[in-house]
Amino acid sequence: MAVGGEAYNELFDVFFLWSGVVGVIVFGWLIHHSFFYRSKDGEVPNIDDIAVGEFPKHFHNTKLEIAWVVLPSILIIYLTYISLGPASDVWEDPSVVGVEGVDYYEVGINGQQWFWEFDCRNLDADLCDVGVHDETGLTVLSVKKDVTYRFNLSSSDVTHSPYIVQWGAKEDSVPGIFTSMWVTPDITGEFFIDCAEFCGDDHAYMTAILEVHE
Amino acid sequence: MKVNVKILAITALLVASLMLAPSLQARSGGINNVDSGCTCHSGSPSSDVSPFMTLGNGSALPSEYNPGETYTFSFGFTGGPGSEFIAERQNTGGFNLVATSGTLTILDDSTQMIAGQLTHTTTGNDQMNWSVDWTAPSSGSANFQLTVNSVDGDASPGDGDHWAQSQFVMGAPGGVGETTTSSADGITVLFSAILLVSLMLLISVAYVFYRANPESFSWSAFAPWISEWLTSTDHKKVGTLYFVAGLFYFLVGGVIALMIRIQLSVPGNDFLTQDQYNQFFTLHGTVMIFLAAMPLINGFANWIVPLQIGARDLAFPRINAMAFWLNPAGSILILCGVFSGTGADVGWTGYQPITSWVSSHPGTTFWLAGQLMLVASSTLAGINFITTICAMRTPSMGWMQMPLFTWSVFVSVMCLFISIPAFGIGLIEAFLDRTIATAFFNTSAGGDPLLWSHLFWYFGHPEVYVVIIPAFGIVSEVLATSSRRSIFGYKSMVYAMAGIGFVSFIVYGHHMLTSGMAPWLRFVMMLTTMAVAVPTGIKIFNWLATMHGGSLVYRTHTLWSLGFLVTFTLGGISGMFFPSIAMDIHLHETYFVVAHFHYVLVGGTVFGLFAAIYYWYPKMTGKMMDERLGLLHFLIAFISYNGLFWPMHKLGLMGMTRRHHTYFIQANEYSDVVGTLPPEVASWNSFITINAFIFGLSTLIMVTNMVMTLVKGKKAPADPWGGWSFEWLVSSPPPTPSFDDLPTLIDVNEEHGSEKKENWLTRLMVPNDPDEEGMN
Repeated sequence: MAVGGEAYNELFDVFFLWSGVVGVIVFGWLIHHSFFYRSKDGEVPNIDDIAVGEFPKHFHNTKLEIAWVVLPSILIIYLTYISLGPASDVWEDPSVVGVEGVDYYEVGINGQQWFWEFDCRNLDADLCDVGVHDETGLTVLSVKKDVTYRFNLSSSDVTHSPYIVQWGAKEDSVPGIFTSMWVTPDITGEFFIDCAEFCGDDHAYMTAILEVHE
Repeated sequence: MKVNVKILAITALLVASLMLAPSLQARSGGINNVDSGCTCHSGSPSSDVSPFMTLGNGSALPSEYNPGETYTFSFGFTGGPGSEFIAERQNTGGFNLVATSGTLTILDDSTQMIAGQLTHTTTGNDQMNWSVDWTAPSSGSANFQLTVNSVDGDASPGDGDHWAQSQFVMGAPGGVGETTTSSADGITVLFSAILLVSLMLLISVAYVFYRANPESFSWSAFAPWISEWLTSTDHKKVGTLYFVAGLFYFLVGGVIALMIRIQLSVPGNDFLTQDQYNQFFTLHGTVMIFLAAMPLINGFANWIVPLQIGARDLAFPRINAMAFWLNPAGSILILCGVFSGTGADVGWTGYQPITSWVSSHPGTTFWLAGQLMLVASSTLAGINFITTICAMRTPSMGWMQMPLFTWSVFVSVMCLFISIPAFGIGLIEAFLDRTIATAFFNTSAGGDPLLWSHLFWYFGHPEVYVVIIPAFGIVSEVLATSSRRSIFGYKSMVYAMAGIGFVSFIVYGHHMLTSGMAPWLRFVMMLTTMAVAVPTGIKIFNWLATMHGGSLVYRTHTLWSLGFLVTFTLGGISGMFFPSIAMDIHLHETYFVVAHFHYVLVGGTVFGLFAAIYYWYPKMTGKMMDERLGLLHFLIAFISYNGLFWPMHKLGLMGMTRRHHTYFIQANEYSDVVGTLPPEVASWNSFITINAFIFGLSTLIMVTNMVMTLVKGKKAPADPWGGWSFEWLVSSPPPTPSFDDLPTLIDVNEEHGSEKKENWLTRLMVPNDPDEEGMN
């Protein structure tokens, strides 16, 4: 699927790795210095001859300072670069983002205080169907695996945001604006949809189920 | 003093209109009722039309409902042109029904739901009565607003059509049986806690007054003493007022947070209703940012900045006092809604259109008005500080010789001053939308909800830097002094702060990456947001380098600064996950975000402020704080803080969404559908709640420490820690005015006469301009 799946996991791993590297450097440095450069008991030396009313002497090292401008910048540029590709999957037409010749189907998701309405247009029941979940009584939207969908999001009242929790996919549905979300489900199962943009009293109860079948 | 009658009259008029405007909101759709009535057929209501609403069998509505039961209502109207015989009649009437709670279910094709309200269809406008099913909520009274039209049937609006409106109420179950009196109501607990905090404040004030002079403990001595505090324009006294107010609201906001945590400690908890929960998280955000963090920072800025730059007072002392006194006034407006049970329930971001939507509480209007007063306060404070720092530095102090705390306050008020008008405009628009039914954010009338998001975050993002940058300044001062060194890379520190301030204006869109903003704009925001890491990194590395070769003297403020370095770095790292759009799609509005901004706002701003309290308290009061209690506070708070916020990262990655009053865990290991969150989420939430209580209570150690040392602490010397800036020159506490003769700054670097080489880099930097100094 375009969002929340592989792209997210790969990115998260890379970011997590680099977070670890930065964390180890900073905290290693911090812990070393806080113990190694601590004053002995009761000792309050005056290393840089600080005196009240005197601007203390400059303490700097231009090479070091340039180093910690340049090195983080390189890391940032790299992280930005690897984020660019996956970002466009979320909104763009698949043919634009390089998946040539992909057919997609449009499904409407409308948010209302406080439930979701799914609109399958005139798609076959195999491609898109709306039903009721047996155990919970929640509305179920069932879609087919390995088919690309564009969810057209709309809202009848205030801003909502359908959040397919297990996929990590969400996009606000804003009244008066049409937003969309591209998905290509690649695993079957039942997934939980809740509302991620605060919409009033029953915000937490605004749930539905997305079912993906073969 | 001559009273200017004209100014008094204008002020009275403004105050009266400000107070009256929100009360017009008593009607749920604003004063001309655009949202709630089908008024399209006639310009005026008519008494010959009488609406009715009964149960399906014709009996009157019961005064109390049974929770969860479904009732069938029959409603409509009698009288008016719709009931008369008119030849060639095309329709008879229509209606609009709003239920404040419970769920309306359509029975036939004569009715329909539009925007959460029930109204008739084109089939249904040939009738005079309709029916609908209503499922009762679990608690709270249910109000129904029924608007009916009785029309003359000529299929066009005109004076021949009449309308009327009635309210019907079904009370919450109140008798014996279902409801229990043992469970505390959330609002009651909050009131009790606020009263307790107020009582503590009053007792502390009285105690401090008593200890100041035990012999004259009488009202006749107290009245001038307290009125001196309430009317003072002295920067130190106003600073103390800011400080006390900030600490008071810090505790209030903390109590609200604890109640949110009680609600979330187990899944499906009913300590707070969703209605109360929504008010509580809204007020937690607003109170903590606007009424706690900003006044605390302003308190230190007021106290320390004039001392550090060698000025006798701020540039505009009376504007300074006014900026403070707008705060209590605004805070009463912000909180008064919750006292009536209808506080703002829209989140501190106040996203549109829910803020101007009919479902949000009337208290939201007060909340907007209160924040407008804080906007005025911040603007005045901004003018004051910018002027003071630009024009009132002691003649020998150049720009690049200002202490870093002063620099940080300067950068922060610049950010605030430039960004807050956008927020003010947004607030005024939202206020007008709610009161006089303008349509800035009403999509059906061509308004744009994203306009609010842009205005809010154009202010909101600089705002979080406004509260974090002074903490940078504090930590720079504290770490350098504690390491017994000058700060590493003073100039790069200043440029990094200025850089963060500048970048803050072009990154705000990362709050809106999933909000329907244009995709190209999201890419821009992604690039700029990534860039924030560079100046922030410079600051962190400079702090670490400051410790190099130093001799770190461990005191409480040193510990808080080191703690700040840990938590702020963690918060900065987790912040790097958001600009990457594909990840933000997942993480946005989850607890990962909550964890991130609490790591930077509590671990950054609040830890910085704690360091500042321990660092400058001797200067402000002349008494040393107790280091053992300080150490105890640090250890308890730092550990419980990480226990409180670290697991939230995990919850966010598992998909727990913020602003939900409850959460759904998997029913059992065989079902991964109903409630997606794994069962361990419940345990983590309980763990977080326990830590929240420990963290909250640990703050009381500090408060106790402050009050106790104020009355019987050791006398503080002028320079207890060995700092260099001017505030350590004067005695503790400083006299008023602080300086008889303006102090002269000696720059050691200039005396040595070295390092004055001209090169391309120094030409780019701000020169120490002799002409500029002459301006003073």
